[in-house]
Amino acid sequence: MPDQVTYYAMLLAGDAPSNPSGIARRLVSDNGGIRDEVFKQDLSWDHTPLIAAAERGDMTFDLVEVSADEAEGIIEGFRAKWRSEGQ
Amino acid sequence: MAGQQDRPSAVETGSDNLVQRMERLPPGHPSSPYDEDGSRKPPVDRPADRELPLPDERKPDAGPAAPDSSSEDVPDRRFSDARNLTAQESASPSTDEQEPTGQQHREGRINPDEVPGDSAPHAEAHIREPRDPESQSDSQSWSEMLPHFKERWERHEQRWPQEQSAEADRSNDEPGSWRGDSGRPLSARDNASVDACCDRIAKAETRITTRVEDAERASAGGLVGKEFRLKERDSLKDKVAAAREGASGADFDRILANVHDAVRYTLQYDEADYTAGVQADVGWLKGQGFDLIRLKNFWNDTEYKGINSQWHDRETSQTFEMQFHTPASFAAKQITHKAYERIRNPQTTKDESRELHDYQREVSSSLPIPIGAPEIPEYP
Repeated sequence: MPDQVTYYAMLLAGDAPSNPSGIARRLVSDNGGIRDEVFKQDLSWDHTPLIAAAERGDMTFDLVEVSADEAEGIIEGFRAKWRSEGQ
Repeated sequence: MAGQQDRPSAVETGSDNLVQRMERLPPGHPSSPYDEDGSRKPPVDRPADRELPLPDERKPDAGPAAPDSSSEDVPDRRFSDARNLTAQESASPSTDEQEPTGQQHREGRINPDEVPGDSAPHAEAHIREPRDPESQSDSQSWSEMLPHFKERWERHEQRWPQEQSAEADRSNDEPGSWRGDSGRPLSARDNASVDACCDRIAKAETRITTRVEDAERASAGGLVGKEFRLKERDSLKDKVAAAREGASGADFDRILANVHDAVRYTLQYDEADYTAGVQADVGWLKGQGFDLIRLKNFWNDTEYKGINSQWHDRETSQTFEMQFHTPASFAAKQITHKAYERIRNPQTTKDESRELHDYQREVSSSLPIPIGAPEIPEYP
């Protein structure tokens, strides 16, 4: 059974949810297992401590839950930006 | 702005005042009546009970149990007790490198020489409202849960023994770059930026701490974990590296500017004093030349409870973090710290991670919540 996925727009001060500084997701397997990931500049997803940090009071980022479609739009925005920057 | 002049005046006796201040010390403090796990320490003899009789007070039939107090080799235990108290208060047992603990702080606040109601600027701040019976009961429930949390964590460690992490491979890293044990790197340029930031912070911190201590003197609470106010350089770099990885759409300097807890403090209040104390001290901090950037209320959250805030110091342009806790919420943070460290570890499995989150939730849900705390407004 596929993991249940929750996406979070990661906002630094001054960011709008539609234009965040990063995107993260929490994968929850059917037995409740949890893995947190961020989308990296190499276009891969990798483990991150940032969601758990925010749950524990860290305020570097504001995490705002977004839908899978919104997340895809944000990721596409990053891809376009990095392409234009030649990365 | 709330000030100490707004607070009620002291009407306590000296011994009451001392006892109450000892009650307010964080669990685990050598002079606190509570052990580190929040349970009450067994009663100790009153110092008077342990005093040796003066030579002219000794009964003629006193047995050998009473040594000769006139001997120069045997210190007068009345003074010895006082010295021990001072030494214990000065001791700063270090427990955790990254997280403040409640054991090393407020040394001056338990000084028996303090005269209650005198002109000391913070004397009035020690007044306590009568305890709410419900909140007392909550605190007791929390204390009763502590052995369970300890046992549960021991079971967790047995079930999920932690393997020695392989050292990060730095063999191909560029000169001047940095890579932490988590494996997350900082380029040479980014590493130099963080180092420069740490150097600036080291200069600014003393000036900030002085004024934070001024605010503490007028506070119903006290600073805890003050010796951990400066985040370790490697810890800061690891945090910035994780943020860099996550904020892949942002400039590095902007990311660094958003990390406000390189300098951090914690003010701790008794439950009964918490809500009014936090609101008064936010005002006090503003009066010390600090601008509130953000205040976030976590009392309704599931895995962490307390209030965290970010501040900007007009004098040094440095930002810092101030957390507001009760002894129980601060203790909960310490109790769950190892769980949090494991959650952060990339090698932790999904199944263990689930149990770690469950553990954090269980500890957090057992915390007594100060009346009015969840309603303290956030900022902005």
